[in-house]
Amino acid sequence: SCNKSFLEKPPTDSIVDASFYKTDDQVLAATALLYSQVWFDYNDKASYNLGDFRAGTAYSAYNDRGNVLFNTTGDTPENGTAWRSFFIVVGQANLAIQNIQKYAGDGVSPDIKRMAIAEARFMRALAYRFLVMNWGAVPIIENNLTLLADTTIQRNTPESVWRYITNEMRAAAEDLPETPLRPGRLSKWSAEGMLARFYLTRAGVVSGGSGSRDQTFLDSAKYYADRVIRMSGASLLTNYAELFLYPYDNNAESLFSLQWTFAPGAWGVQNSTPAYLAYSGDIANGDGWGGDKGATWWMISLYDGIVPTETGLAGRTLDQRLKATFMLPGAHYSEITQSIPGGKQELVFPFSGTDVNFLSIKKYVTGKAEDVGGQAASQNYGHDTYMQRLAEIYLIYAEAVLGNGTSTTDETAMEYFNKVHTRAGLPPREEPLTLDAILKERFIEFSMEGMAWYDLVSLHYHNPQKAYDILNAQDRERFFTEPDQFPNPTSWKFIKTPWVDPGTRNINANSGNFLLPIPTAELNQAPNLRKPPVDYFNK
Amino acid sequence: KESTGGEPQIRYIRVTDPDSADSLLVGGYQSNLIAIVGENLGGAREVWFNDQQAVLTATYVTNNTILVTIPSQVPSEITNKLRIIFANGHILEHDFEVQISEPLILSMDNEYTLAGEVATIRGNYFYEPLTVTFTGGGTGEVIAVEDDIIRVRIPADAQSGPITIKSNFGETPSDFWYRDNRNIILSSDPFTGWWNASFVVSNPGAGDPPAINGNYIRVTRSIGAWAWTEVAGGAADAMGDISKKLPDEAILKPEKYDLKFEVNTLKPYNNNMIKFNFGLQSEVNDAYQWAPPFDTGGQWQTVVIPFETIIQSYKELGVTPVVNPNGYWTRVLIHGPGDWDCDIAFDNFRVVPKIDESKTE
Amino acid sequence: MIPHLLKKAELLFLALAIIQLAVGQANTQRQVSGRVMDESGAVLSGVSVTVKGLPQSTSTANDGSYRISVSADDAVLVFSYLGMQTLETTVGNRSVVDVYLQTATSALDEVVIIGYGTSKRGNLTSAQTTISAEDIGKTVNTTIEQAIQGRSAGVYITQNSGQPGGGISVNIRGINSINGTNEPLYVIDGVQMAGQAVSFGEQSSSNPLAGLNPADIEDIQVLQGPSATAIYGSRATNGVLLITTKRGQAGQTKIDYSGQYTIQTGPKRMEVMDLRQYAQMVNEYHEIAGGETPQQFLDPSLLGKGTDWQKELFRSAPMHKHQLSLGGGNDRITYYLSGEYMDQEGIAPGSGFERYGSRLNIDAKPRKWLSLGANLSFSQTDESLTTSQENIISNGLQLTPQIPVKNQDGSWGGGDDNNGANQFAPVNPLAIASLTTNDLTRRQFLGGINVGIKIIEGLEFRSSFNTNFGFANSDYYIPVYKIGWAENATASLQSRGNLNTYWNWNQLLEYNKQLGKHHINLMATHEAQASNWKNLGGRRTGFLTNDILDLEAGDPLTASATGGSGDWAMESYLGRINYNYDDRYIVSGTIRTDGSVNFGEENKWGIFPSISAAWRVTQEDFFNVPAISELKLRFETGTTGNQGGSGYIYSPMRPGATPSGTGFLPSRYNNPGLQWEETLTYNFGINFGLLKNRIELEADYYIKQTDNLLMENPLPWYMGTNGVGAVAAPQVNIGALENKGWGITLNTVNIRNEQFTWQTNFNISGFKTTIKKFYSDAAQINRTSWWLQDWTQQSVVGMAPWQFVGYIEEGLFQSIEEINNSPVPVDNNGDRMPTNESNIWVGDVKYKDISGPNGSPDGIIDVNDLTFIGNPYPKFFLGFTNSFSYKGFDLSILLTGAYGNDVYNYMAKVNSNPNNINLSRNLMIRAMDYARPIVGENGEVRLENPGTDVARISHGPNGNYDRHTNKWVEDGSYLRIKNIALGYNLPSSLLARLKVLQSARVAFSAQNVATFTKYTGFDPEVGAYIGRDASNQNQAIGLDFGRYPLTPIYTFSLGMSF
Repeated sequence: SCNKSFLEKPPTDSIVDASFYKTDDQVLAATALLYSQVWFDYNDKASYNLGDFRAGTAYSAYNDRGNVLFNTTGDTPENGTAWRSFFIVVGQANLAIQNIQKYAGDGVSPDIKRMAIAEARFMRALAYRFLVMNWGAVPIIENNLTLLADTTIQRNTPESVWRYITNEMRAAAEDLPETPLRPGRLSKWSAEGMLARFYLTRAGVVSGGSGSRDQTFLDSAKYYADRVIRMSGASLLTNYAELFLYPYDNNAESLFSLQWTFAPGAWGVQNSTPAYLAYSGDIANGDGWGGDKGATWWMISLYDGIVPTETGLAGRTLDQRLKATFMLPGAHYSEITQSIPGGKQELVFPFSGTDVNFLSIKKYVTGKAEDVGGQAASQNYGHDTYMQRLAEIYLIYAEAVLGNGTSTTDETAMEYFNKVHTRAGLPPREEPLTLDAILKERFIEFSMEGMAWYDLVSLHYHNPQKAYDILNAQDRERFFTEPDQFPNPTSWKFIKTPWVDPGTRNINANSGNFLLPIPTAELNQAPNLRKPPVDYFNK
Repeated sequence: KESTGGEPQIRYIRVTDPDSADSLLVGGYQSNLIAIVGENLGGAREVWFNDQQAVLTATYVTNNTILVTIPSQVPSEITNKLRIIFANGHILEHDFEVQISEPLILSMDNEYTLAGEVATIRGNYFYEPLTVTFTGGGTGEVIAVEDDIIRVRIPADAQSGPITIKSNFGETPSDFWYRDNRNIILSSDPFTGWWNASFVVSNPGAGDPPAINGNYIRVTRSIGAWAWTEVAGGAADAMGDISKKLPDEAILKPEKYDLKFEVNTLKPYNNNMIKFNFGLQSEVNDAYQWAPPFDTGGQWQTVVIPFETIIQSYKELGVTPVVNPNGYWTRVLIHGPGDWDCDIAFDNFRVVPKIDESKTE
Repeated sequence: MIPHLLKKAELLFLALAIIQLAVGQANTQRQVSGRVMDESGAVLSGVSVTVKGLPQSTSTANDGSYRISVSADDAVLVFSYLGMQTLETTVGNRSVVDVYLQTATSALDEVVIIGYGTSKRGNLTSAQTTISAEDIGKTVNTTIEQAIQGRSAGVYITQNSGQPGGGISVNIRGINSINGTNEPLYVIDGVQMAGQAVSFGEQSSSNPLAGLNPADIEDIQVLQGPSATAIYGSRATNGVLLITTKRGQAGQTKIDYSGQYTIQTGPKRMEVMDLRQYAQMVNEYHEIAGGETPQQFLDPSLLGKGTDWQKELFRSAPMHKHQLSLGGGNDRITYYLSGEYMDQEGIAPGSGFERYGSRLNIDAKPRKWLSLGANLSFSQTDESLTTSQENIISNGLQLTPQIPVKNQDGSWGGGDDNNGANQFAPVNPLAIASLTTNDLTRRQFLGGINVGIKIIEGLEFRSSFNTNFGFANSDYYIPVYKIGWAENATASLQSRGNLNTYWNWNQLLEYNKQLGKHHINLMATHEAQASNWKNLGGRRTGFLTNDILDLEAGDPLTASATGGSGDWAMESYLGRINYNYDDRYIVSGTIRTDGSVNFGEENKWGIFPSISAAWRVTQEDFFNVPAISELKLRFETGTTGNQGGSGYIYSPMRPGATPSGTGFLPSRYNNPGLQWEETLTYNFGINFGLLKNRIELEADYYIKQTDNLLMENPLPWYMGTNGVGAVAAPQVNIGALENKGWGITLNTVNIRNEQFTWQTNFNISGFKTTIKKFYSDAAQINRTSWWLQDWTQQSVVGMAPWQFVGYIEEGLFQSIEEINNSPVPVDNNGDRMPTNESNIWVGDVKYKDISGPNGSPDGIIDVNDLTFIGNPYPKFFLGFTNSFSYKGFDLSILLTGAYGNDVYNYMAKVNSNPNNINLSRNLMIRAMDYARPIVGENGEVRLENPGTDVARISHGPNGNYDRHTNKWVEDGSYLRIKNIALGYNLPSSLLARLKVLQSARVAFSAQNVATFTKYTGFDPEVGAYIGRDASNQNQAIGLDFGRYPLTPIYTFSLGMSF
């Protein structure tokens, strides 16, 4: 007979959980991928499909039409990938917490243990913020192990999800260090920044669409925003374009970014999104499939200086965010190499077409491998995705102060708003702040950062009609942009593509299609999600 | 697809659009798609227009038709023939003229480029060899040519007036004038009006922009948001005769005119607002707004604004300009949001016809 | 106790030593000679002549003569020859022994291989069928599974691809697993290999058994009954294929050559639009949906037919195969040595399959009590997988006729401004095939040694040590190219290596005892086996030249590596007892216990018992029906198991790069309590022979109950177990399945006389699989293929697995009233989508309202109206062989067929969608008949073409082309003339003059000659989806995505013996 070990074969190519989590380094390694891989499926295409296409800041003329036309269904691919991804974050965060508690022994310092658990709670809370905002009621899961054989779990009401995630984020803020342990790791201020965001939204959640936001929560948003602004040590970069100029990872303005890494051949730890945004292989690395993506007509009309004319829109803008977000024909980008017949040059965004062309995406597009020190390959980029930067905190402060007023002239609010506004190259705003002004500022500041949709959801909590009005006024169809001269244009004209059916230019957002339906396949395999949601805290 | 052996023959050439199927072609422009219709064409392997070979796509060759795009390259030897070479070596010729556009001239980056300097002219159909002739007969040395841009050195004897560009396929006079001295309505040569004689530069120093046409106006100062800086101008009677230079027709038919001026930003125009009042009876404070950003990088550059746009901007504020034989209220004003570290020079504000009616075609 | 693995060299050394031993024998015996003839007196060559109980053996020469040495007068000579009754005769004092062999009307006395032993066919108590070398030789097979189709009841074979060397699904007796494999266990001369249904990625279309040369196979035993399979215990639930390779015969050295030349023809043509029709369609599409029509298309009458991509892509391809074998030996030692080369080009450019192989089988009997043997086989296969068969067919249909194969300047054609195809046009596959390289080379060594020792009379000890080494290397190179719009800017090379090792050491004791009418056979075995594998892969991009296919030539900055390794081991104890009373009552019991690394302490060992009994009624004295020559009743029951994959009791940490070092995440929920999957089978069988067994019937009925189904827990997505970075769901034991099935085999000798024989084999079988239990009654398991528009197949309790899921179409809406009176899709508020052109309109599909949230129709079309629209499994399937021989000619015709299976014609669905014009895709002709809503004389909206079933052009919310519906489900029943083979053996009179040639045969065969089916696609036998995205969890079955079809193959072959 054989000795017993003949039939004991743990994996030869990996370490098993029970042998891991034994040192500080291992515990940190166990939460490191919560900063990237678990978010991959969300970042890949859902980030901009939901965050921007649905919101109307950008569009794709021939692909992703369900999201562009606000017809996201239970079968729309990004609906499924996003849903799955956020729950992957939840599942891995839960497992990290449990495994650290179960397996970490004396070799792990209490500080590291506390911090790692806080990291996981932060990620889980943030994932639920995305879940509740996209789908409404969702099941809160804090322990997947008990659910492996349980199919009865119910969804929880949005109010209780919000309550849960603010609680969680506050706990994370308690346990995270003042300064990040390593570059890109979470600090207390990452959590407090999220708290500012959460409370601002939650002020609307409890309003039940009444139009009036909860003052206590507004005050909390202001409180946390104020703390982050004063105490975090974060600061705005002086130049907006530098936010996206490689290398920009973990700069002074970033409070939390997904930590991607260039990893040839690997899948899931790298940033794949630029592949789908870059307008052509001419500026990419065998990818560059974003030729039919670009700013919407509505988006371009938001920039100061781009003004209505008899034929459409025209003008130029002082707002440096336009060039940093979208490419206008003739725009010159010295940081990106462009292949041209017989050679290469610094990118000059081409002018093409006669009645339709695209203001292609610039933000997060960093060019060819040679532009980033060799650190790029097809669908494989190392630069990070902002999940929150300080600019948002300034605007949260302003909005929290504005609160339920129609306008505010609060000095600090004005000052903070203008920090963001003037950093873009614009003169300071002198009129009082209104919700419209803040929303517009956010749409422009964060366009193509997967933000606009959540701003609209936030608005929808307390003023659904206004959210619909914004969406339904948008033109999301094709148009043509013509520079006054090429190269070196000084201004541009924008004309709607004449042959596009005007009936398709606008969407019809309403309470029936505003939130995402739970993916069809998920409803089929989990009929328990059809049950009415319950309050998580009154189970 | 192969011909069945009969003699290849072209019956006619047409465009593909069935609505125009009955209009037969004896010529066509570069890059136009044509349909060659005939018999036994299946063996076609090459199609030439003059001495340029067209790109033939196998799927668009049948026994009775060839769909082919006239090459966009410019022929050097012009036979006005279309030649089809067949697989068996047979050659078929047919009269067909490739109509190649004469030069199209759109604009000159700086209409006041000094003699000896290189000017950039934009347009199209710049097929070498090219001659650029200035009023007065001088020809410029062509430095570089792209399809739609010529860089040419201004000859010493170039005079004020239209330029002419000539290629093998025709010659075209420009609608714009080099050193355009028509209808100048503000140039401070000499200073008139109410405001800011101190802005007038008569003898530029070493570091200053060169004079392009006598005096020019230069504003060098930090301008705060909403500070009120009149650069030049004044009421009609204060301006004197120069304000009467604005043609009546420009007021009556603004769509036929452009406002042009030369500008030189020594520091980028990147904030605040420059506002023009031309052709008015009295001030309109909020129009026409010539908005930032604008940066010529320290070079003189001609700016062209359709006069109609300017008039329209006054109308939107409820002021409709009318013809006034006594001249017009004139003002260049800097007044707007945002602080601006300003260093900008202007010259030769003029309202000139878009089309030079006088030019000899 | 486990010995180190023997290296190849040592095995060869051992083989030489055996030869040495045998040659060194002294010879002190007398010679007997003679001739062997058949009933008619014709000489028989190649008849095996042995001395009973002794190692001596020889075979008869071309003239039927033999010579053998015997040591005593009581020596018994045994003459055996395939198809003849074995004859035994005592030598006595004769020195010349001439014999006449009778044609065997019964194979009942034939000895057949069973698991861990042999048995007389007549005494088999379990369901088992045999496929002989002769059967195999009749069809043209690249790999061995192809030879099995149609030959045996109970075996359902579908070829997943007609690609050279392409994979095959083999199902024995139904569906035994939900997400695990259903492929049987292959035992090749003692080497156990689990069949594999799918592998991933660029090499997804390859086949794990491709290295075996079908011509080396002596026979294949298909073990189906529980008693036969239980001896393989935990790996036998899906049935077992015992493959025995050819061995040498004593006597004159036999040299055989066989050569084949084959032409494979292209698939039949599908009616797609030619250029003129396509241009017409483009014009019409833009008329309706807006957009620009390329100038070239404005007047379709100016255009010709354009490129016929099917013609360009599918070619007739040659295949040739050469095989040389040497067999022979003497009474001490026999050997079989063979070498093979085959080269098969694919019908589509960029596919091909090559194999080089050699085999040496040696048997020696140096002592009376000792026998030794060795099997060595080496093969290499080279496959070109550039044309992924998943795309070639659809490309042939979808490439637009406006794109030329090549441009005038010699560059490859692709959608561009000159021809007007947009950037969504599929890429020219001819260009891709010629530019890219995707090669897979596999080397395999299969071999083993065995020893047998007679300890005392009736008691024998045998031991064997077998190994399987494999090495595979693949290179996938994509150069920089620009084919019209399609551009690859950086060249990349991916190289992968894989090493795998398997060994099996077996020790067996067997005891036979005959006591009067009682015969008893006991067997006990211990077996240990283990395997491991290791992968290494590298990838680089940025190659500056396309000439050097080596990673070194790439840009080191872009380098990436992948790895992986694993191992597995199992230890088993097994035993069998056979009791036979007078060949009348036969009882057999087996028990096996397996211990596997796949399970934790508590569940490591599984026990698999079986018992079977047979009653040969015809052997009873009371039974006296002259017509009935054989009547045997069988019953068996037993348990088999399935141990699934390894490592599921652990939760491994998966590494991933981060900007600050490697991070780790748990990759799977572990399940320390994982258990064996168990299948309990009851089998009832009858064997029936008439007219001296000229008519033989074998029938079986079985019930298989599988419990503790092993599968990945089909958790909802909210558990975070699906997607990148997910922690995979645990492997669990969930649910139960039942298979009920039957199989009937009928062998008849219809005519037999001196000139002419006609024999028939007919087998037919069917099974019905029912899912009995899941983790909850409402539970369903879906296989959703996101790359096929989320095509879903579902398993639910009470049904057969993998039902097609879709909507029911009730035609197209013909009027506005009809729309307003019908259920339609609604928005998220539950309000009906409006009736207008951009929403629901005349010409849209009308779906059947089947159900609602409360289980009854609700006037709304939504997911509640999804229903089962098809079943991929047939009700029955059959094989029918007729063999004729006349003088030197023989003819065999094989028909195969299946009845009652559904096929989802995905290819037709996609290529009938007029909206795809937008993507510069060609379409089937039928798409031109898309519904055209018009306003009639009275202002009513109606269809101009009311008869059509192609929905209108629209991107509206009705989902005309997004939903899967029953319209695309077709009856996949078929009857195929699988093979017709005509052979001629040159007469010996002619050969005699040639001296060197002992026999020669020429043959011509045609395969896949004709298929009778209602199915409108290329080929109803669609099998399982094996594209790059498939996995066990989401493999579509019975869906025609444009599978590489089986096409007619014509072969000429020549066989010669020297």
